[in-house]
Amino acid sequence: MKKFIRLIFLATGLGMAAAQAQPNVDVVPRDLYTDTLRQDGNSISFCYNPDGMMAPFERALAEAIGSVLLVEPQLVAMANPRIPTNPLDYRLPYLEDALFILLAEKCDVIMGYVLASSVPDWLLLTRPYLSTGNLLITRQAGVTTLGELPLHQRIGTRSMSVSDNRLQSYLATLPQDQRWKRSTLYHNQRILEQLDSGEIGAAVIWEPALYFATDGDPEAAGYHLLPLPFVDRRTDIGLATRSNNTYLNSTLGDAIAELIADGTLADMIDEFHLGPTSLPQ
Amino acid sequence: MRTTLSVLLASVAVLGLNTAVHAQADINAMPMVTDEILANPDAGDWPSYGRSVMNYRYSPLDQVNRDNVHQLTLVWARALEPGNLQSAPIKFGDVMFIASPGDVVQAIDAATGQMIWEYRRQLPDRETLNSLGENKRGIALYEDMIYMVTWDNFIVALDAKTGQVSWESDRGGGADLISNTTGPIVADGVVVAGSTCQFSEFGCYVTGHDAATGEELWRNSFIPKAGEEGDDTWGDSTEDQRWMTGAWGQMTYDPVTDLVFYGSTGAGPAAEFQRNTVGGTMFGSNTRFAVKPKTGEIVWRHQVLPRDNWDQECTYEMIPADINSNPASDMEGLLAIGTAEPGAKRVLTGVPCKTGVMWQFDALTGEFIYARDTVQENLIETVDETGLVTVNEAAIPTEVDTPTFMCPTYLGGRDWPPSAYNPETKVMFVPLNNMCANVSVLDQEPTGLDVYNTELAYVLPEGVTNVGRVDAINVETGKTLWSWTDVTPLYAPVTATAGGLIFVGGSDRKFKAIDQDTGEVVWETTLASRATGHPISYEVNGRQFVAIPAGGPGYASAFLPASGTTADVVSGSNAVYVFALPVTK
Repeated sequence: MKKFIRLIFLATGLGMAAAQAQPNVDVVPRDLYTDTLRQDGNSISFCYNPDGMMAPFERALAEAIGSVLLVEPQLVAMANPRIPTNPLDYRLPYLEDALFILLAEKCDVIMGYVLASSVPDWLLLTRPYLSTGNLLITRQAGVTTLGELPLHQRIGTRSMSVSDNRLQSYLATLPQDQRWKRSTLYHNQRILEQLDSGEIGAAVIWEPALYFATDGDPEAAGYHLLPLPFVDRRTDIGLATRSNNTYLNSTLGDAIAELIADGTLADMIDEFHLGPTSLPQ
Repeated sequence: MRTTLSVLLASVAVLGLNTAVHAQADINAMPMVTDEILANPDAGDWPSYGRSVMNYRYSPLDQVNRDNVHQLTLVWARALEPGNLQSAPIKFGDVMFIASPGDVVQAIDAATGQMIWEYRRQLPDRETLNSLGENKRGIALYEDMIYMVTWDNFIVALDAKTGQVSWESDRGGGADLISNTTGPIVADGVVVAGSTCQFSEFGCYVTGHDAATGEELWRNSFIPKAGEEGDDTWGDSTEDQRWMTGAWGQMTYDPVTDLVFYGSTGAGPAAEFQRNTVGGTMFGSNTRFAVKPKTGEIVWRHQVLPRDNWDQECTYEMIPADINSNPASDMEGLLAIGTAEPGAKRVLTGVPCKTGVMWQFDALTGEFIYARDTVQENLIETVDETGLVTVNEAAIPTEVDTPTFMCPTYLGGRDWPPSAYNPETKVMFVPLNNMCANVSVLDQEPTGLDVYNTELAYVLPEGVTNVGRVDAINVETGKTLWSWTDVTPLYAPVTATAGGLIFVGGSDRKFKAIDQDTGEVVWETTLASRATGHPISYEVNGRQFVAIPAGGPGYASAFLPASGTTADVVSGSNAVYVFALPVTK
């Protein structure tokens, strides 16, 4: 691993951040949590979902950030034994109030958070360490473009994904009798299962999911890439901190920038099969 | 489903033996609670969620009235478990039973606040559960047992005199985020309870359990499966793409017609183009049901909002009542009057959806009588004389990142806080909020569990300055008698009494009494935190008490910035507060 080491008086800086005013939040009753922010000196607690497909990558990323910042990364597995993690997905098996309590009590950082305008005001996101796209795939060797897919076959997507939005918009531009039906499925594993079973003829799928599921080689696994007939929208993923912890947030952002600049992050994305285009530009 | 007996569960029933010696109420003298008592409680009792199983939330006590309400004083208060508090106490004999967040149930001396026993369920970590299930609103009392639906989706029966578990039945799916928020009702010996699947990848159901044994007798779901009736009303979606529809609002039992009334919710995601049901009316969603409690047989059903794109959840209580039905053609907000003959009849009436629309049906047959708006509402285009709803196409989101104007909002014209009904005057008191929003379907992916994938920018309706509101509506004519408003949002249940008062809390911590005739606040006091619980009124030894659980936070928080309120809202420090007139020496 390439490392770029820089000395930062992190503990001092974080101590100052803790003294800043809290945002006006009323997410959960105040007597349900204890705010333990920044009591651990020169360490950062990185919370990650151990059941998620990105867990090995996130553990490695936390270590790399710790090396850059010369701090001790504490990896906290925020396992959720009762709420299942959707396979081949980034979504966290937590409701918003649970994330709030985790950040108050256990986590300086929650890994794997999507940069979105809907992020609550008590969260602050770093620059992304992943910038992910979507791919159109089929198992039918004779199909080289979406136009060759028989109209009676459905196209699968993951419900509420940006790719489903894009596909829906695209289909709406086609004449009524030339539209495929969508199957808006609950998670990406189900997309691959329904492709394998023939329930759907093609699918738009999150690039890291496809590459992770196929050990980096979709073609070898029988999934053929087709050109997307619409402009993709990328999903950026970064680290989440409490919004009052601006110093930590900017410091982490700087570390991510260093890992991008020295090529470390590109190597990690390749090693963990998260897709050939997932490095933030 | 698993049913186990009490001997296996002694570890989870914790008796407050050390406090029992201080208790004054003799809980062992408490008689059996019969069906007759649940239908017609003694004036001083409040033995069900809505006092009777018909959910009027009306107390015939009048010791506290317009003339003396200003003398109300705090008699006792008692801390409750922390968490999102929306509790609905019940009272029978000299004992108050109350559930708190975290599935804690307590029996308390209703006159003094001394605890008699406590049941504390052992739950998985809170972050592993559907947070909505924390809202332990209602519990039910029948014969000698207390019934609750637990956060992890069990039906539990407790011995009302000891708090010991008598039986429990796992309805399943607790780990898949199925839960319950408003609690069960007992109808003719059957514990009827709904469920919420807000964050699950499937739909929910209503169950009926034998109150004595815990045996599950029936289960009604809502979302049609492939080939079932209504399968073709869910657009392009197949069965495995249909989620969320459940019934989590309060149920009502009408002993006269022997019918349980409940309502179902919408589906997720909010926008039909995202959930793949474009144009589909979604059979089974947002529908009022009348079912037989012993079997779950559906006697009639009526969809009060097809094609929901706005999370309007038509699951709230409606009440049966004998009235002289005479809907006025000049009632405010009239949507439609049906062809039913005016005159004396038993109706089912109330405001079942967030839309704020008041509906009325013949309770026995489901025949449509009338529908009218309360708050500003732009989701419904028309209602015809059969009660068939056509939605407003202009209010349906059709693409991402393009704001669509909607009134009311996801937080409702009304939401879970129940209405009250005075059977003497035929007036219903409905808690409401005036608010609209520009809603945008997001072209981005949520990180945590999310079912809407939308963003709302709140705006007050044109010409409106106050958000919080209570309307008094004559259910016979449908006409509004008065409308009390306040700048602060009102997310709080209403209770009426024969003393000419309604009692209601609020986000601003004010617990207040409003004159039923004039709509004027005639008394208020400021509590420690948000007054979000269900007020009740009861009598012990000839003294009338008024109780309210408070703590919050409730769901009004999202409204607060847009409302312009300067109220000092604060949540936490849950407690039940009990007021009465001073004792005359």
